[in-house]
Amino acid sequence: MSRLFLFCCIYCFCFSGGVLFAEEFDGDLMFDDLHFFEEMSSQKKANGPDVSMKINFGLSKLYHRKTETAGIHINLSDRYDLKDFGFLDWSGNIEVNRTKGVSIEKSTLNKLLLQNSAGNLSWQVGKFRIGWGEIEGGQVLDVINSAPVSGVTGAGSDDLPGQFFLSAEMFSNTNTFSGFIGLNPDSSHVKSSQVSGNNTEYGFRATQPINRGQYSLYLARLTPQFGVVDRATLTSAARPYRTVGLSAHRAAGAALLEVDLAYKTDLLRASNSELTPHDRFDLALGLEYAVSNLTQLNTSFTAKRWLNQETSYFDTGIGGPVAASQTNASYLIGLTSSGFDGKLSLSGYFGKETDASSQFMRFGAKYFLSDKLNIKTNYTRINASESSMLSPRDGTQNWSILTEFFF
Amino acid sequence: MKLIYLTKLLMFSVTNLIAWCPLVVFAQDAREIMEKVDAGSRTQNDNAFSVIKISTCKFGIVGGKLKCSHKPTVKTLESAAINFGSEKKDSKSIAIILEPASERGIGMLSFVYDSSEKDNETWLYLSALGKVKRIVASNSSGDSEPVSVFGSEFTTEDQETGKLDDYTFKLLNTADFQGRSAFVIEQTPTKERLQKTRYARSVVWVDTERNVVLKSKMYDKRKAEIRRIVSGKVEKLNGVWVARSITIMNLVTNRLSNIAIKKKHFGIRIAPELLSRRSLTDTAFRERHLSILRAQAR
Repeated sequence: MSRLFLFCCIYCFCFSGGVLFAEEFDGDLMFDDLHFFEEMSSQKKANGPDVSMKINFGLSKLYHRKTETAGIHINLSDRYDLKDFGFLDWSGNIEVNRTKGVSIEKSTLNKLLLQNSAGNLSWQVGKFRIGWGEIEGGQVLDVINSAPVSGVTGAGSDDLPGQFFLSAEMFSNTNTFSGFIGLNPDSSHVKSSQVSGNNTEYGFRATQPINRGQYSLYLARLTPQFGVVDRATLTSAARPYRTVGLSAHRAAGAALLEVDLAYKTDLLRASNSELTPHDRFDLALGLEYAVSNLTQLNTSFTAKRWLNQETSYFDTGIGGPVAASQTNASYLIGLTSSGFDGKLSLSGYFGKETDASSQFMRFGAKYFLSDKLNIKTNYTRINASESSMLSPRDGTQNWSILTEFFF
Repeated sequence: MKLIYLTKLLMFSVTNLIAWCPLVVFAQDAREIMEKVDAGSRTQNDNAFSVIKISTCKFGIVGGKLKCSHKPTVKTLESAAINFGSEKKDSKSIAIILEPASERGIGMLSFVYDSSEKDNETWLYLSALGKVKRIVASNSSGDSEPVSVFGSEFTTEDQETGKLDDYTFKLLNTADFQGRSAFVIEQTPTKERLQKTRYARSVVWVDTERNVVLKSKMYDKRKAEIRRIVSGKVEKLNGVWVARSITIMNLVTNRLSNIAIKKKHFGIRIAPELLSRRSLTDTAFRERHLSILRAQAR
């Protein structure tokens, strides 16, 4: 493992740019204009897909027990013009991850998308992601795609796989109407999942601009991102539910105000003996604010409230069941900043449940050594009480370093 | 990979960048001169379809000439723009990356408003999230964030048009620059604007006959020159004087970027729907419209 880390360091050093130097800069120096008007053969597209590679190393510490992880990800992507049939995009990755001396190889097709349009209608079919709602990660309306799988060696959000959809959009003046059908939705389960019936997803959205912003209305039948564990059978189920929703954003100076609101019916909850359907309101409020030229503040508040709580209900995580309250709320505060002429980006996030059952903080730094090479490091710490599903991870500290090269 | 560049794409309007006009200039005439420069920039933007190349490199000075000390990175873009509004002082533009292939299709849509009272808008498609998003950094009026444009040394602050009321102008003198007679104009941001800009003062050389900015020096709040822009290959295209080569030098990092206008066509019939959010997501739609523009430009 240490050899891999050493390799990463050497790799970064070799590809790094030279040290900046000061230069007197008086007089009317001109640049050779003609040079830039010459064709640059190196920029012509080579045959075959575009390729990038990531190498990562992670260290996780929990109760004085350290776990090292490492991995290599090769990402490939390409686009083809199929003329009258539209455009075909695909991307995928091949990865090898090593944890506790065990290597796991995996290949993933993240996107395979055929897109075309005629008149006011556009359609897409294949495996891709659909984004709903205004607030990323709030899970109020942004629930269409399967839950992101991330960890110490996570490859980054640009690699998140999509799901198989057929979607269409109709553009009418400034309004947009869209719909989708998902035949094979994904859900995450902590126990073996029950085989359920028809899980087909479908949804409709109408979007209209308003002064300094826009709003959207939603109507959908969706499959939950996470299964609910039946305490009687110790199996997990993810049965489709229905939702109506509203999202909107409005700019105000250097701020962007966002709201997502949804009313969901037939969501499963686990009591001591069975799974029963319930209704819930979900709300997320967001504020993005450009603090300065190079710094942005991102905050959000998310709340979920079940409309009834006749008995005790339970959520089951990796540590087992915990009592589920009628209302959950959390907030997130983040600050991102860039420096060194845009080459360095820093981020810090702090999130907490309002009942103090769990909290996390995350710091990240990314530096572009060149246009083709960057290096990134992250530190995450999680604290959780026994009443939280994250309690097995209480005290976890993760540190990771990742370098990415674009061929 | 695209996500990396999306972060660099914030608030960008290539066509406006082509028509960069550091907004400043001497009392009487300074403002009038800059209004002419601004008007020229708008003319360049209206119904214009361009192919440009942005090259970026670290530079050194060899034999009195600027030279790239490393192989430059190069991006080629297509952009289309129209002016709109009651006096056609507002503009819509879209820029799409053609090369390198790994970034092909990344696009940004910009609405730039002349009035300081009205927010500029920038929209981009976040492929990782599967949605089009309005960028907060572009929301405040005239305070475009100095975010790198496609990873180059140009920032959105270097590309603004309009909003002359955000500055005071002073004509310092006239001087010869590269064989051309030029007004030398000092541009100072208002108190409000000063809080939003990195440039506490700029000095601009404007061609006395062509109303084209030939050179600009930008100073920070400590009065140090931090950037310099130099125009070259000034040519009359379709009756409009256009600087076909614009080079910005970052005097802090010794990196430069050059925008070379490979092709520029005026009077192109650009369908307004191309300059809409649909173009960011509907590749087939966008390519159909761009092919029409390409055909007109032949």
